[in-house]
Amino acid sequence: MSQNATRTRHIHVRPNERGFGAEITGLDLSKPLSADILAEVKQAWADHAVIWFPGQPLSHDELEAFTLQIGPFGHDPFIAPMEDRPHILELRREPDEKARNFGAGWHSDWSFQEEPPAATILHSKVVPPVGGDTLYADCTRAYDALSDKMKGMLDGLVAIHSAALPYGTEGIFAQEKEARTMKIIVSKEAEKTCPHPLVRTHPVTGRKALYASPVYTVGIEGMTHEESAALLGFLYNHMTKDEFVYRHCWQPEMLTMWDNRCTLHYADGGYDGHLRVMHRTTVAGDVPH
Amino acid sequence: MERQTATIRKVTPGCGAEVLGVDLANPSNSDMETIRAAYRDYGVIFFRDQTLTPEEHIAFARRWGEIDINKFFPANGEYPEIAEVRKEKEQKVNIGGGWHTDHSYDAAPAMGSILVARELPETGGDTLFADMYKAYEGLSDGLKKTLEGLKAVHSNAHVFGTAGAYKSSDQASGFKGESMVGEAVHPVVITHPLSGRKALYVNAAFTTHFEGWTWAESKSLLEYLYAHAASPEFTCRFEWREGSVAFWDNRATWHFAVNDYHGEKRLMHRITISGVPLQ
Repeated sequence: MSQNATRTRHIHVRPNERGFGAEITGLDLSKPLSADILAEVKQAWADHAVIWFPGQPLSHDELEAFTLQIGPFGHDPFIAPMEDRPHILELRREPDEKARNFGAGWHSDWSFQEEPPAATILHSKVVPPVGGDTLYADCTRAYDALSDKMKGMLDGLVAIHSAALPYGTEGIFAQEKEARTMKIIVSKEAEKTCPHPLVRTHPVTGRKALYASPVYTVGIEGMTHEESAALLGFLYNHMTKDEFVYRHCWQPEMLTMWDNRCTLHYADGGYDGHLRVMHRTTVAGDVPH
Repeated sequence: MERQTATIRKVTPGCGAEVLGVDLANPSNSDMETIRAAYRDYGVIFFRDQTLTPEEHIAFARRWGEIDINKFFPANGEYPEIAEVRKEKEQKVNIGGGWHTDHSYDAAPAMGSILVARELPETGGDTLFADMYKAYEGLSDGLKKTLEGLKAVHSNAHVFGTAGAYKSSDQASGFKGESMVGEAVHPVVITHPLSGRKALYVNAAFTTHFEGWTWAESKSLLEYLYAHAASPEFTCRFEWREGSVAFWDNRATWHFAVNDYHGEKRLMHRITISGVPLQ
């Protein structure tokens, strides 16, 4: 991502000094954005992949309205949405909850779908005093940092994605013993597989990024499990090196929007004994190519 | 005495064959045909109860090509063609105690080596072999395709150089040629010059990385290939006896000298035969 401060007329974009992501201020997300401001937000999102807006109290209606300005809603399977809000998931963990916090593995949202969501929008309501950070990995710079010969080898490969590991009938959630506030719907449907290029080209920026994750990628097309693990294991370690990772600390009433087409994320825990409440929407994406 | 007909017997389903009923000191034309076929088809062949003198060892080797005089190994004082693979009673480090194929760091790696047992420990000192045709054939079609265009760099500085493995060991005094270290690039999958079959051609001792990839990028895939190629179903274990001879093809096999006879001496005579650039 370019870390030069973006020249904008309306909003203020402050790129993260450590190479990735940007904070955006100088606008009110609770009201419809003007065409100019929306264009600047979209440009900042394309430039930085993860953008966050502190101090944005939003009702559910306002969160939905902002999401629709970015694009149509995505399709969210395997988790029951909020009552009367089919497009909002509540990521809620009670203080006494013992089940592992949701999202605690590197992934790109719903990458097992034929058209995985372009964006995920997460809005914080209640933030614990410790823990609960979200880590983001920049898969564009991770790809760029590889040698040309290795890029050439990866460019032709197809990765197979599936939701089976977390959401399958014998998956992690199906075997979970501890009670969980969020309603997870494990399903045979989760065991379907979907191929995507291992290196995808971003439809807006034209930049290439690695597109695979330990949660949803089950292998490389044509290779055995062990062979795939050798290549993918290297890539996962590479993508999540410190130099490509941004650790995001939340404040209450902060909205963060990330690009699933060129980042992975990981929900850190460490807040047992504290309530955490977030609301999440997704924006539909296209077929990776 | 009536001559026996030479016959071939597989050692394991995955690797190696024994050639029975031949005298390497005096092979007939038909014996040579059998030996050539076995060498081409199995990559490593074994002979028992031979009585080769050093001169006969050299003469047999010359039937296969030029002798490649090893730049690094201790040479036999009397016969420069013969490299000595020697471990004395008091030495702890043996020669070749890890999976490797000889001379892969040369632009035209050695075709093969003929190893003759001269002094053996009471037990132990076996040599393991692994079949690189089988290793290649055991890969998925997807990985075969991925490896097809790749080349790998092979180097020997870390083995035979001034700060290399042998010069840092109790084998240091016998080794020479530290300044002659070098490297070469070969395809990861070669088409074998004798058999025309595809074989995996990387090895843990000398292959450092895929050409154009960093070492870190190369590591996990190379290590996968090393573990895969050493799978028991692609290997055999040769137990040496007095009169035993092994003749292996470096382009078709790996080998590993087991170092399990501390306190006993083991001396082998090795002659290596020149090879060709690999494609």
